[in-house]
Amino acid sequence: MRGLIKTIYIVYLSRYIKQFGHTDPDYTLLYSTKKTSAILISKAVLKTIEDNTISQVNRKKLTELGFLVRDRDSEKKELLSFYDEANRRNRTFNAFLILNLDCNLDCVYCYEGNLKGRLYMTQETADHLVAFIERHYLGIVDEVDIGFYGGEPLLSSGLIKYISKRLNILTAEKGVKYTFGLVTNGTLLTGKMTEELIKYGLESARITIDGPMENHNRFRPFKTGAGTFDLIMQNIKETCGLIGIHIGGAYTIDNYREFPKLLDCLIAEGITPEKVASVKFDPVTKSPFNRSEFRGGCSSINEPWLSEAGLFLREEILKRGFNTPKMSPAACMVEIKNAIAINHDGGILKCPAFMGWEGLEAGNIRTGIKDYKESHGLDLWRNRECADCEYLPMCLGGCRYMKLLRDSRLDGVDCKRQYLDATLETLVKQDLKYSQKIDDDIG
Amino acid sequence: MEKTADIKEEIVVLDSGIGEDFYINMACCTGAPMAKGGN
Repeated sequence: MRGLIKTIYIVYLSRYIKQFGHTDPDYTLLYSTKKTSAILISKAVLKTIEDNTISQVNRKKLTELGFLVRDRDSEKKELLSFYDEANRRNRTFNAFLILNLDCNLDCVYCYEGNLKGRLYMTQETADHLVAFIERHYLGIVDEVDIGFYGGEPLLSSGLIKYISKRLNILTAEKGVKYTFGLVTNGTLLTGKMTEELIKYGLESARITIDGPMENHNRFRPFKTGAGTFDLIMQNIKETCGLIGIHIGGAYTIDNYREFPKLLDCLIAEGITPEKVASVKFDPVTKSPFNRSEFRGGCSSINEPWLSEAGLFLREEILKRGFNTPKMSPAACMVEIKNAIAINHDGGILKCPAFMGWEGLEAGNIRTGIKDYKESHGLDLWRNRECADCEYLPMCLGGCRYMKLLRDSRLDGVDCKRQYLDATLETLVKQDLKYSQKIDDDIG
Repeated sequence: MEKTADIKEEIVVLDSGIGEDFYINMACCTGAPMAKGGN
């Protein structure tokens, strides 16, 4: 008899959803910012949710997809403990290792500009670094993923091999996977260099090209003033079949419309979409360490022109068939326990962009990590306004570096509402339009 | 790219999403690390 009794409970729409219009007036596009699920739903079914007359089948389907919840307060609490849960589940140690602050380029907007010099990580510091990783992380993770960073990390290619050789041995002993990537200007990443580094665990590289040749060579020349475009393109041709190549580019309000020409140039050179892991362009960011003659760069994602520029470039990337990151909840490394950056001198940072900022060193590999909760404003997004915001899963307090740039302190959030209000509908529809699964369902 | 009169179902799943997953944003959303000079 008990088996025949059905439990009827009330369900509610999640607070972390957005409703967008559709060409069929009887339907609404629902998007969950929490699960990134998207559906077309008839307005009649939406009404059954309000009336609590929804069918069992629809209730089950919508609950699984994250659109319905049994208790909106519990859902809010769950979101507010996002990082607790993320840190509990995370089994990877991620670190940027800043091997030097030297470079063979002289980019006009360099955000490390005045910090630069012949500053290199020593082998003694590298030994401490390996010991630090072994002591603090190898017993608790399944994977170690390093991003070698600079300056230009390939000016320290010997140290990359030295650190990787040691980490390969130590991780193998513990059954932990070791891989690494490079954030490089691409001028030294030849096919030969790549083949050599693959033996040590190299899997991917992020290379910046600032649009078409003329613009790129103006913004990212060699120290001699000579252009770097042709050499970088040659190196990408040699390496894109060997490792995952992620192409980035930094645009300004004056030049972003030129960037699609780079995409056409890549294709014309045989660097076709299937050979590239991803393409993503971002605005040039301001920095207190910019060279004095550089004016420009943004300090907020909410600057109005960025919405137009970002959407325009993303469309150009997607329509040519290149991959670009999908909309997704993104956990800032500042709040992830097992994610750090280690400076060339052994200082620990919670984001590489904090380099040179007083009071933002989160410890040292020789003495350990200190409590950075207050100094880095962790948990500031756990407030009523953010908790009730439908964008919370896609923002989680925004970019700490942007907040720092604007106010020189981390005492509040970097709210993305204005930007997401202006862009999310188009971003979601772009993802759906260019998704291989869906080609005919959005309006 | 538009579907109008031929929608049959009450709910059309366009993307089932990523469930509980997330990724760690090691390259800041506004591209700060990517936008630095030299890299």
